[in-house]
Amino acid sequence: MRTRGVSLFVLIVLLGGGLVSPPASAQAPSSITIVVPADIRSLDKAVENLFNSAIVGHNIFDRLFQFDENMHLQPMLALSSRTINETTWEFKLRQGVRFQNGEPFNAETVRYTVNRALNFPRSALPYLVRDITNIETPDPYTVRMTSRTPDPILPNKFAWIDMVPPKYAEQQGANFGEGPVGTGPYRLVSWNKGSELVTEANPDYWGGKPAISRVVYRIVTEPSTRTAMLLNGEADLITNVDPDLVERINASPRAKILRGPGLRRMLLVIGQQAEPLGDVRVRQALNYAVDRDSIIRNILRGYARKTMGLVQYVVPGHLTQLDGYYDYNPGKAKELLEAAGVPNGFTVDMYTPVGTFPKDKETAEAIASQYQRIGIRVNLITMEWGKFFAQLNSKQMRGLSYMRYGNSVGDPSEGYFYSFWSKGVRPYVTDARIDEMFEKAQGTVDKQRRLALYRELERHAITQVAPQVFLFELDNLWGLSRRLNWSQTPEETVNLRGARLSQ
Amino acid sequence: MSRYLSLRLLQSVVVLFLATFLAFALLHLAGDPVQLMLGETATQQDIARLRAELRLDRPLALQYLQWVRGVVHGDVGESLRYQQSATRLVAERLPASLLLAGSAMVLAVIAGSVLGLLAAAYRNSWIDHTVRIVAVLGQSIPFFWLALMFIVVFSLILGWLPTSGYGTWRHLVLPAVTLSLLSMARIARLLRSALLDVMNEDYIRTARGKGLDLKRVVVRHALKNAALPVITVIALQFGAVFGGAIITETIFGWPGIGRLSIDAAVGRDYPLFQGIVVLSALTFVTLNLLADLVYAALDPRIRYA
Repeated sequence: MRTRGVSLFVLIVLLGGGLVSPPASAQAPSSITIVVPADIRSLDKAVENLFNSAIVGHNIFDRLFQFDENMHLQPMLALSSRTINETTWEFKLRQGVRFQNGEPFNAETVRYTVNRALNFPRSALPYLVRDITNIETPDPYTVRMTSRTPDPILPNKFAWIDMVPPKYAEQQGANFGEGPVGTGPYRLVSWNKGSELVTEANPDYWGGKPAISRVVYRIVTEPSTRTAMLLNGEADLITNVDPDLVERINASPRAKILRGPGLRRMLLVIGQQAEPLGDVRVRQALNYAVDRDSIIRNILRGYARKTMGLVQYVVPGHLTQLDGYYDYNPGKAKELLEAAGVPNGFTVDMYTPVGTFPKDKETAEAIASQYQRIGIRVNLITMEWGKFFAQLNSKQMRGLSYMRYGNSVGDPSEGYFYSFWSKGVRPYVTDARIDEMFEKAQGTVDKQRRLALYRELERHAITQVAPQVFLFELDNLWGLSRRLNWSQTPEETVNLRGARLSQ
Repeated sequence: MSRYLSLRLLQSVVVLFLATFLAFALLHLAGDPVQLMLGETATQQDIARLRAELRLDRPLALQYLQWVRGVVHGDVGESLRYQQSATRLVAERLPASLLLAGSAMVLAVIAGSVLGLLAAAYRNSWIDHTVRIVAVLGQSIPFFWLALMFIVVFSLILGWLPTSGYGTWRHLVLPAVTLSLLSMARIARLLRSALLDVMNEDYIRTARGKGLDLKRVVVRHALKNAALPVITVIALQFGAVFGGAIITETIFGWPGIGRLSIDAAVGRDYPLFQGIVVLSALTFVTLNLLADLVYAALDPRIRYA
């Protein structure tokens, strides 16, 4: 009797739960769901400075500038920028902008944001603002920043730094990132940790009220589930689609693929100066021995672009005419090996993470087998990403490593600063002429002259030094529901300003 | 009884320390949390500064001892990446995990017992064969494959249930069923063979001999004895369910501890990872103790030993 009572109770609970729960597919017409591929810890970049968090954050916050689809800098909360002298920039700010809690946006906001980026406990942002020595605010809508040395890309850096409300951010302290307030088109309504964030349109947005009234961000780390969500109509936008899934998504009546140039430059880091890799002819041979076209066609299904050098295709300063410089030529590679005194090749380790970049292991395997053809014997070693990255970044990696270079400031300087400059963060193969040319370009404020210097530097690095094995650049692949009207930029964030539902 | 209990408790404490020391050592051997936190744009200067702020520049042994001291005082430490207490983070995710693991266990025990009972009662019939096939499949099909097949069939083709997410009972069905299958299969197989063993005993023959029907004999007499090994296995299955939850939660976007622990391991967030290890180990150890107590209650031989 007692057991019967219990099972009756369980039955009632189950049925009751079923009656009160709304059906899963119930969505208001102007609500969309975006899938974020990793958990978000904080929406405050001072705490968590990652692209995945910025997918949400960039729609809650505005920045002084933004990049357009060609990676050209455009005004956002700043209307214009100009240089007063070699080390001082002046920004004119947009007037009448308010934060979602009513705080006004003005020059003091910018000053506070910079100081916070620098001084917040364990801040992740000092690398962008460290060289700013003085901030002046001659009037409430003008900011003048002076840096220690000429900084031609200071405005670019402010395309990443979110403007935060001084009073509220100060009051919230370390918790600001869990209940953020910005000047952006959407405000955070609720956040179920590890599962979903709900945002609603900000009716007072200075750029006009957003057309889509509600945006839900769901956190799903498994790629197959993300694709299933899109095909099932549970998601309107997924990021970083695997090249193998493009056809299947395009065949769906509900979804399609949006393809565009990205900033993910893939290459093999050459991890030592010692022989034989220290010889430029050997490094050139390694470059000639890779059949990039075949890898792009057969492994990446065509969703990549062959490029040379360090500057991404869409970034100003890229040298298009050298894109075919090291086209596949095993004969020439053999000749170079002979000239370098290693006619019978050598043995080298090659490292790759698995599942971190699209088709990473498959690509590394293909390159290894192409190297065998010219007598270079490759030990392919797969490594977990955390370990791989830590070793590469602390200059402990030997041999060859399959790696991605991004570009967060839309300028040629970044790659050189971090990887090729001998005083930089993780230079492996260095060159005195690269140092000299880079230091000159880095300090040149005039944009056209600067870009000309970088083109000269790229030409020198590609043709004379070959410090790495240049490969290709991955396209960005987004999965979109057919009802969503949205256009992408090369950055991996999702800018919803201007997004609409077609119906 | 109390000596038996205190011995078990002491063993549990040793298990806890070994588990956390292993977690600590392994995460430290393979990579650096600071590099991963700051990403590709960090300079050596940034890395050194953060390492000092997080006290990661101290000797490893000292770091571990300091952590142990904290645990003894009830503080499992602060997550490096979330900059929040590990206890709070685990507490945030615990309800979702308990709901999933609890539902899966209830499902496994009920379905597993029913299947095991039926198979034993109708030995060598088509019911028995079907149960055995299901049990073998349940134990051998990998979780992730099954989970994806469920999504394809029940979400994409039939459209009955959502692919993933958390909130209503509809979101719970697929992950709970996926997670329950392995344990269900084990329980069904074990109960079947335990029942078959018991059914050959003299007292069962006596019971049959005095005219009781099969159903009564199984339920009244055989089940009580056959249940003993099954209870031990049920307690152990909580460990399997915890492990399986890591994959299940990842595939179904379920905001539980399994996913949190992957994030912690991948990010080398060892205070958080150790916090999760301590709490999972505690749960596991407690459940095993409970199972021992139930065992002792059911079986006088253990109680008086």
